[in-house]
This record gives sequence, C-alpha cells and structure tokens, in this order.
Amino acid sequence: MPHISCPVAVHANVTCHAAGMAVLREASVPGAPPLPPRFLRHADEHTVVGIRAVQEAMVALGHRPGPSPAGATDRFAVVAAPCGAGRPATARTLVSLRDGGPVTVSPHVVPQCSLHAVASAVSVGLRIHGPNIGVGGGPEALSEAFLTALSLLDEPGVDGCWLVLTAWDDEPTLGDRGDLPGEAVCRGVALALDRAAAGSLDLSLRIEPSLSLIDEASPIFLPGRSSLAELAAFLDRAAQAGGGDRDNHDDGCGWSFRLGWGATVHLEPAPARLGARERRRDAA
Amino acid sequence: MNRAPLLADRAVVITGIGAVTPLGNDFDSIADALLAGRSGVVEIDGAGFSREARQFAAPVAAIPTVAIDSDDAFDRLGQICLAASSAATADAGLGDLRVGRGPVAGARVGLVLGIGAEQLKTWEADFLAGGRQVFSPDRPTSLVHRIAARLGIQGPAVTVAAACASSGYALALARRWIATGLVDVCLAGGCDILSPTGFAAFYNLRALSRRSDHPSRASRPFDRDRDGFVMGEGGAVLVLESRRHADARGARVRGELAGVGMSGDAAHMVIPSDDPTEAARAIHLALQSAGVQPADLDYVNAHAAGTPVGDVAEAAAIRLALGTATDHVPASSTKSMSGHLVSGAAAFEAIACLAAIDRQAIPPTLNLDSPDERCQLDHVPLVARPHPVTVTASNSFGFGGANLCLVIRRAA
Repeated sequence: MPHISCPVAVHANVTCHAAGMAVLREASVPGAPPLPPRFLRHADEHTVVGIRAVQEAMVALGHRPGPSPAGATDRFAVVAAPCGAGRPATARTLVSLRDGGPVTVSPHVVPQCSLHAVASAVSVGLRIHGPNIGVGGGPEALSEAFLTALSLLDEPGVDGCWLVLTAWDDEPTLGDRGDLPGEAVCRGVALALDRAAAGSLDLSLRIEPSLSLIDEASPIFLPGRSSLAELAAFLDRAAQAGGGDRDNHDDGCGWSFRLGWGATVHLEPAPARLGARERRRDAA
Repeated sequence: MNRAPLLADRAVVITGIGAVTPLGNDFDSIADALLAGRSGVVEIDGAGFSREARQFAAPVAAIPTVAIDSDDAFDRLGQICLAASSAATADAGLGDLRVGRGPVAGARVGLVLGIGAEQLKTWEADFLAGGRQVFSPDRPTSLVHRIAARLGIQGPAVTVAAACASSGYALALARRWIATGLVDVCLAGGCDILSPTGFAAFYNLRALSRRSDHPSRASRPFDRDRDGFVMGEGGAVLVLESRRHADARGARVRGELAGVGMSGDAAHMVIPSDDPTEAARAIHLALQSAGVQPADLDYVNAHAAGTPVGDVAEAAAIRLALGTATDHVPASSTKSMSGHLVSGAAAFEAIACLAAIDRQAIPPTLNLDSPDERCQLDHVPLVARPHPVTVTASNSFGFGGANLCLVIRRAA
C-alpha cells in the first residue's frame, strides 16, 4: 500500500476578525514579497487571510527573492482549500442581481468568489509559477487538500507545495445583504511542503489495507471534518516546542485524522528529528 | 527530489467516457458532430441571464436520467455530473462499483471532479428560488462525495478547481493517483452549468461574444473578427485505470493519458499573460512526461475560447513550445462548436482528441473565415481534415494563470 510523505518546512497561522479585514487588506508583511498595489481590494476574506499566511510562512522560511520574487518557492504548487469561501460576496451579488438586474453583477465575482480564488490569488500576488489549484470547498475540504497536495509533489516541474487552508472558526450567519458579523474570525493556515527541506514535522498519508475488507453491508463513510482551528493549534504547539517534540503532542504521536476510504493523514515529528532527540535523551 | 516515474505497467489508459454536452451525450454522437462541424450554439431564453435582448449559448439539450435508488435530490449541476459519471462507468464496463458486487470487485476506485464554483451555483439556485442558504452557516456535503456515495465509490473523492482548466486538473490528479498506486480505477472530469450570475459577470467583464444576430457564428477562435467566447454547458467524465488493470479485466482501451504538464502564469487574475513562457512550459512538461517530441504531435486541441487576448497568447505559447514543428501540427479549437464548457471544457476536449484518434481526422475550427495574423498556426478552418492521428495535445488555460496541457495518444 502506498505511503506518501513530505516534510513540512514551515507553517504560519493567521486569524482576523471580520471587523479588522479592511486593515489586513492593506497591511504589508516585512520581509515577504510585496503584493501589487490594492491587490486585495476585491478579495474574499479567505483570500486575505490565506495570502497573509503564505507571506508570513515565507518570512519564517528565510525568504530571499533572488531571480524570482517568490524566491526558492517560485515553482511550488499552490493548493488552497477554502471551506465555504466567497459566501458574503456571493450573497451581496445575489441580492444585487435580484434588485438591480444583471447589469449590477460585479465581474469580480468569478475570479474572487470561486473555489479557485485563493489559490490563484496566492500565485498571482506572490508570483509563484507552479500550478495553482482550489480544492474542496465544502466541509470535507481539509482531507481533500492534504491528499491533493501530497499527490502533486510528484508532478514534473513541481518543486514543492504551498498548502493553504482557510475557514471561519465558526461559520457566521450573514445579514440580509450579505454583511458579516464583526466578531466572526477567519483563519488561514499555510504549510510549506518541501521534500528537499529538513522539516520539523512530517506530513504523511498512509493507506491502510482495510478498504478491501469493507463488505457490502458497510456504510459509505464521508471524509473527516477535522477542524482547522484544531490543526492550527497543534502546529503552533509543535513550533513552540522547538519543532516536533513528541511529548508535547496531544496524543503522543502527532495530529491525525482518518479518511473514510481507508487512509489516515498524519502530522508528526519528522523521523530524523525524533531520532536526534531520543539520542540526546539517551546521552542525558 | 523523490519523483515517481510512470512505469510501463502503470501507464494510465482511458477505458470509459461519459458526457452530457451541447453536441451529444455519447462518444459517437460527439465525434460525429465535431467532425461534421456542427455548432451547438443557439439562442436561449435570456430572462435573468443578461441585459441583451437576445441571448445565446450552447446549452445541454437533455440530461439523461440516472436510475439510482436514492433520496438525494440533485440540482442541475449535480444531475449533469451524476449522469456523466454514471455513463462513464457503464461505458467502461465497470458495472456496480460497490465493493464486492461488480466486475471490479475489490478494486480501489476514486473520483475527482473539476467544478469551479459549486457552492456559488448551489447558493444561486436556492436564492433565486426564494431560499436563504447563502445566509446560513450550514455547510452541505460537497457534490463529489454525494455522487461517490450514489455510485458506490469508496475510494478517495476530491473536488478541484482551476477555472477553465478545472476538469483537466481533475484528470491530471486521477492519473497521478493511479500512477502511484493509490487507486486502481478513477473517474475524473468536470461539468458546468449556465448560471445567471456567471453569465452576467462574464458579460460585464466583456469576455463574452456579443454577436447576437447569428448565434452559431459567434464562437470564432483565432478569427480576426472574434469578440469573446460563448458560454457552454455540460462536461465529461472519463474512466482512467492502469494499463495492467485494464488488460487484466479485458477492458476496451480508448486511449492513453500519456502526459501532463502544469504551470502558473502568476501575472493577472483574469488576463492571460502576454509572456508565453509559463504556458509553453506546461506544454513542454506534458510532452516531456509523455516522452514525445513536438514533431511527434499529430494534433493540438487548443484552448482558444475566442477572446481577443487569449487566442494570441496561446498561439505564442504553442509556437514557443513546439518551435518549427508548429507549422506542421494541425491545431483547432472545438469551442467554436461546443461553446466554452468552462469547468467541463478540458474533459470535453479530451474527448475531442480521442475522436481525432478514432476517426483519423482533425475537427475543424468553425467560423475561422480570416485567421488572425498574430495566431500563426496550422489551422483547420471550417471543415474537418483527414489526417493520421496517433499523438495529440490538449491545452487548457484558466483565470489566475492556471495552465495545463494533456497528451493523449492511441494506446499501444
């Protein structure tokens, strides 16, 4: 059975209240590739936090532009999995369509509210020339994203992958014209998957041999709906622990969730790191 | 870098085709229409679609009914995706996909659908019918998982989106899953529907043709007088499997998905880059992964939607990638007949390549009366050209600089 894995070179976790989104749209990230002027003016909230997370991860990665603005990640794929993105803008558009007719529909709704919007904005805004793909869109987005990102790493011309995950911490109820409650929190998590890097965490997908054992009476499982906030908390704890300290992980062996089709996604200390730590313990 | 090359027995072949399109709902009907140069573009009821008095598009005429014992109600997009997926399964002779039941009992089967704006269209249909889903925090299960459940697919299921290249990326991902041994069989493709919001947005972006006086003449890729694309509807789902698996079960092999290349322009959210480097890189990578040279190509199915900027950019990319071979490789755009199926376009155009291989003829570019001198290609204007076809390439380019090229060839 296949076992696909890749080091996570770095991650970043960004949150923003809806009320603070206007400021974040215009804010720069020192040390990261700058966005074109007013690039996020029409962007969905998921795009704003997603692109900010990639910029912060680039800084953590020690970004240097070189011949390309995106530096060493110039030929990374961008896989973005927004869960329920574009809803406020779509609501505003639909109200506008109903009240004012087709002439009032903004051309921005297609590039900024589709499933592809976050991935394409990250690619265009940060000048990343690998393939850019939106994944998921629904509550199963997280599991679809990990599988897609790991799968793309073997494509020719792809040096690594920016995996961008976005969601509202609590999916908000919108007002009658699509307005967001100011306290709603949108979260973006970016992970750099790079087989050439020595990451402190290892992302892996293990296929378990259980699939063939499912009989016809078994229910058809839906993929896991693991929370993005839960994953972000794990990543932050792992980073604070100096990178993949086994003792600080929730269950002693990392973060994982099981997919319905006989596979499990694991984020766990990279084997080399773990080995080094255990050797240090032995020495002590 | 740890790469997973495609071994000979891991060659990925196409064994089934399911389609719901403006030109027909099965391979032979589509191939007949493409080679006859038949247009699917017609005047439609424009109420709610646009501010034009007369509106035109290439709609799906009829969606085949899928008889499946289910209480899950699918909307129009879901019905098209389900019908195409079900037809592909039948065409491949897979029978009942539920584990332990059909001829591929025990096989690991996956599903990848390229759908660019499923949620937007679901919210739109509900809202225009008086619903309030778009305001609600409830998140319904994605279409791909509902279809997988209905068909009994128990392997991985994923929705991907890369604008107009979405279903091409679905095929690319499915090919990789098979190559790495993640699944034995994978259904992959994509579909789209005509939607009031999408129509209005593309119209207001000035991306659509406004030749409402003669709808079937409106889609004219590479022509000097083109003025935008024509919206189409529908899509296709293909069954992919490893050559070894197909041979073991005695499946009919329609062709091989021999190569994939992908890249990003990283230039603009909606305008194709005037620098052809990245689009050409996608073509080059596809040829390289298939192990073919530019001169080996017998046909290029161009993305060419008929937009003034996009067609010129693509012609430059083809020329950069193929070099002097460009002058000898026939190229055409079947969007001149089908309209632009958006998310479903790449999968439909994979069928166009298979039709060229099956019929040994190149589908024409309809309405190509006066080729734009900035698009110097070996065009096939107006009527099909008999031609030996073994190796084809199909380009797909989407908003946000999503570039994809598939190499499809006659199976050995």
